[in-house]
Amino acid sequence: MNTGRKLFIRSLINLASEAIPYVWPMRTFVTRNPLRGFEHMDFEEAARRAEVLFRGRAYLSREEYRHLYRLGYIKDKAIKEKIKEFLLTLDIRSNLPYLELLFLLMTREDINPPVMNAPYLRRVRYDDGIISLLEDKYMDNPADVCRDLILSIGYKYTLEDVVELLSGRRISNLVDELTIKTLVDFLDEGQSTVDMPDRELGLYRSWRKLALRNVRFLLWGGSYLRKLVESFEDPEVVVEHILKEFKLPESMWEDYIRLEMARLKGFVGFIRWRSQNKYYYWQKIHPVDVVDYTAIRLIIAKSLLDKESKHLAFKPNYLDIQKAISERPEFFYLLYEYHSQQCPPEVLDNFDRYIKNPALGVREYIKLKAHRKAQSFWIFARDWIEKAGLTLDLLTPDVLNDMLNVYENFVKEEGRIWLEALEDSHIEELISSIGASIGNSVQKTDRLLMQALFCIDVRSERYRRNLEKIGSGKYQTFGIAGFFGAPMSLVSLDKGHEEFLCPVIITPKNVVFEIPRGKEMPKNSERIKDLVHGVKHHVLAPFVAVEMVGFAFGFDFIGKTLMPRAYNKLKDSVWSTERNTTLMIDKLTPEDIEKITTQHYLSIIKHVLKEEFGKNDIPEEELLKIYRACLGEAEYTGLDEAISRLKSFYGVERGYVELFKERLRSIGFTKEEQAFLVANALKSIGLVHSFAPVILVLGHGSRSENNPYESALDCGACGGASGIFNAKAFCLMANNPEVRNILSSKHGINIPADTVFIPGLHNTTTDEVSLEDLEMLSAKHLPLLREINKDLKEASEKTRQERAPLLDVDNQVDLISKAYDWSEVRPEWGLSGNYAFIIAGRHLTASVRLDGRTFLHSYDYRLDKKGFLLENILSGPAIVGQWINSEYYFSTVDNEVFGSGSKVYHNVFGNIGVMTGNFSDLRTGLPLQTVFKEGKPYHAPIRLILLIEAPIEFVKNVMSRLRKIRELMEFRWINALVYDPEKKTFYRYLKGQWVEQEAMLKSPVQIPPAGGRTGAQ
Amino acid sequence: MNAVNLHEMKKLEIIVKGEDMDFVIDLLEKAGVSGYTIVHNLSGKGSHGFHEGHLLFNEEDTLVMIISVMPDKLVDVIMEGITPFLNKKSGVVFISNVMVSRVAKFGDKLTV
Repeated sequence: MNTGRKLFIRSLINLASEAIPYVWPMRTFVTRNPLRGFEHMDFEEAARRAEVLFRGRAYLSREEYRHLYRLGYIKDKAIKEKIKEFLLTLDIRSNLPYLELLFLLMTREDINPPVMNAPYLRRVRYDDGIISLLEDKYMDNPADVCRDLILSIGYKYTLEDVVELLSGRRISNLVDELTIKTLVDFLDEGQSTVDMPDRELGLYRSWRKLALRNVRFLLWGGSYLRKLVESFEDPEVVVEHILKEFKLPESMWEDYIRLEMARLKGFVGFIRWRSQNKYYYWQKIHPVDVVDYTAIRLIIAKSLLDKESKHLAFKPNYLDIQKAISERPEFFYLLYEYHSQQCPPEVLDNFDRYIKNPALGVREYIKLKAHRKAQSFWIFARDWIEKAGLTLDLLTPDVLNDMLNVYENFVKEEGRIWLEALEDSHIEELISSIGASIGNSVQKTDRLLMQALFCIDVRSERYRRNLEKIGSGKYQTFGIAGFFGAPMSLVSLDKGHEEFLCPVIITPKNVVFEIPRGKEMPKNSERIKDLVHGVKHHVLAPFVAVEMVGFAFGFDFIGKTLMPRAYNKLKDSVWSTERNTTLMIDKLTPEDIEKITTQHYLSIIKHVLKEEFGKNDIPEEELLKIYRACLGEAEYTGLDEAISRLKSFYGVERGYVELFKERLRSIGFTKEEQAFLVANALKSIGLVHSFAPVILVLGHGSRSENNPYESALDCGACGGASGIFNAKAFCLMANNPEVRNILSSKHGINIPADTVFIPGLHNTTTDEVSLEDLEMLSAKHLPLLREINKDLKEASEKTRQERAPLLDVDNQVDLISKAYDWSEVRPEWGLSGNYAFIIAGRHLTASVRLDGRTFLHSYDYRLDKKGFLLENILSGPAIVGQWINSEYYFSTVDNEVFGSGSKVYHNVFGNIGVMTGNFSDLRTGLPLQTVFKEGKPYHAPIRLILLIEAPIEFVKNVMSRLRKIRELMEFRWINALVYDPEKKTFYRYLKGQWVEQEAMLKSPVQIPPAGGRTGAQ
Repeated sequence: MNAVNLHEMKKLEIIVKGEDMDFVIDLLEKAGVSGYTIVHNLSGKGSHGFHEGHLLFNEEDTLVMIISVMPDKLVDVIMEGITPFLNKKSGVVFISNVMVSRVAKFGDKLTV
């Protein structure tokens, strides 16, 4: 196969994989939309596609929506409006009161949908005429069923699925099992005690070697597998070979591959993520991509199908299956009915007889099935009419037919109707409660003591509201994405490798190191030189140096690889005590960079000469000469072999050294950059004057024990990590006098000299706020700080009081202890209940109780003449909000498929994620305990409601420049609202138009918080 | 002054969404190009409307251009490989003739 063709196959596989969302390693759980690959299409269309591809629902069940209705989340008025809209789309031929009937069907719990077993459970008097009419209506046509089945190959079903549907032989599960076995072995990140051999060859090539020796594979796949594995060295070639053998037209390949990927969407999502992260340590040493996965999956499937073919009435390939079904539709229809378990139970005993004579059997069978269906629909219709208080006499054959047609159409639209009613109820509530509070001026005093920047996270809202109330005007709070507009890559002391602390849609360009706080605060260059050179007074320094500058930047041949255990042991012993550290946020000088680079390479040269050439104790001047020789700057005689080895194997040559320097140049931010980031953050939240003496910058994190999902509770804007480092970095920048000068001269922001920025952490599990880096405070701030600390404590208590009932605890001690209890499956509710993202000044929301369900981003359009600030909020934080919202949405509507099921059965494997039990796909999404309570949805799944406070024309203009947010709005992945403060009017984006909303209600009816005011009952 | 010895090569300019950049780079590398240049944050108008180039906190949503110079033969390989992608996704490829002096830097056309 030529290279072009190989690349063609790779492209095809990559395209196919785009429907499978990324899965991040569990320790940096990142919430995202599980249907992200479908965001370029309308939500309803995406829902249909997801149902086929992932076999997952995009809406709750009727029973679950009824539960939310009972809790008061969905208003009668909204449901009726939606039913009316729906009825207008139908051609109705009877005069039944459909509005009332459908409303009743939706909201009354004792109307059961038609089920096939109803006739067995209930004795009902049947009207023969009606039953016979319904039999005609529900009679299957075998030819149609067969045609649908053929059309669904490659779109809904793989060949393994079709074989299963027509023979009952369960191949798909076995293909899954063997593929999972391979992936678990290969993807392991140091948890397993026995490593899969040859992983450095990549997934496909190492599996090939293993499969030829592995008994399990040979047992199941037999000689078919051996032959395939032996014949094909390249994954692209084997993929093409098998798809051709399957006799699938090339136009179907992409869809077919996608189906095979969707079966293990967790693993494939992880592989996709890993293959896009070339700097990820495990990807570098054990490369993997979706092409490898596809090749292995297809080989396993093909060999199992070949092995099964002797038991089948057809050859297991597309064309032969198509031909066989078309030639004998009755026979295959019967097989399909039997194996897909669609037939009424009483015919099971007769099936052999039917299949022996399908022409005759099929007639008997479809009549019987239609009869049962007719009976069950009749029972359903009767129930429905009777419960509506109508008489059965109304149900003439024509009326009944019409009613069931309406019902069938309704069922297709039901999810959307419920969802829109749920959303309209929330939108109306939001508009009316905000509308009612406009004009209630925020309490102000002359004595503004403190301003606090909180993350936009929904969990900040309760705390902010309580703190503001306690302060009665002396405190002001702001909402900003919890990375505080300073995207950075952190090398912390306990991790020792780069961690991206920013929303995952950006790759940070600046690296920040966490370093021990020195007593005398040496200059940066001294500190890093200490770290790199390996000073004597610090036992860990050489390891940290190797880790930081080596591993972090991709020079991983030393450090973690050579001495991981020793490193970890030392690290643990040294850092087990409370750490006193700071961040190195400033740039290195060119001289520093030169020094560090030289030191780094000299240590490599020294190491190599000693280990490989037995040369000890070479003086530094000699090492320097060798180094310069490696760079081609000088001649050196006598060590030609060593120099050549250093250049070719260890990368001690000009190109790599330049790259190394380039990486060092990415450490820290220039003062100009720092001022720009601080200015941008402050402007984007509307804080450019009237600074208080103390400004708290509060990141947030959660604390729980034995919880693989801990990082799902941390800050989404910090890439699933705690926000404390970003807060610290921001404060270091904002407190720096040089930065303040630039802020004043270049950005027009004058921060008074006695204003101090203090970082802190809001622990969302216990609602405690702890402040850090207090050493730098001057004495005059201390009394003020005492007052603030006292109020922070009170706000914590108030917030806990508010949250306790929702977690079924009646006192605060129990609530706090959840953070420390290793058997606790629900330390906190996380972002459950989230439904809106509000970009506005606090005056719009301050007097509204939003129950910890809304993201709040502060914004003042008057500071944003060109709309650039709004652009950044909409393309960054708002997108992150939409990801979080979608993850909660889909984890709730189908927890088994899009969520990760119950935590009780979770099993952490490979240090990358969890499985259910000891064998399943890599679980993705949120666990059941995060979104459900006592078997019922706790989170109300609503597509994010985006509310922006700004003039409507201004918003339109900004939106027109942002493709992504426009797409999300037009394709109804989000609901968009605008409050125009100049016109004092709300607008809603509906069907391509901004529609003015009706006048606000005077006394709004409150929607309860997530789970109801006292939790879901 | 001696005349500079120039060699004919092809230049590919590929403009795609930021989120597809890694895919294109991977393709170029697998095809065997010797290097490429990336221009981030492009602005401009295409069939999907106007694209902003100065988003601060979103790289996936901006446009990037990947420029690579290569011998003739590689162009066919890359175009065959990228076809499924271009059939489905938004993006453009411009191919033009260029002259280079140091041919070895761009892959010797005799060895491809």
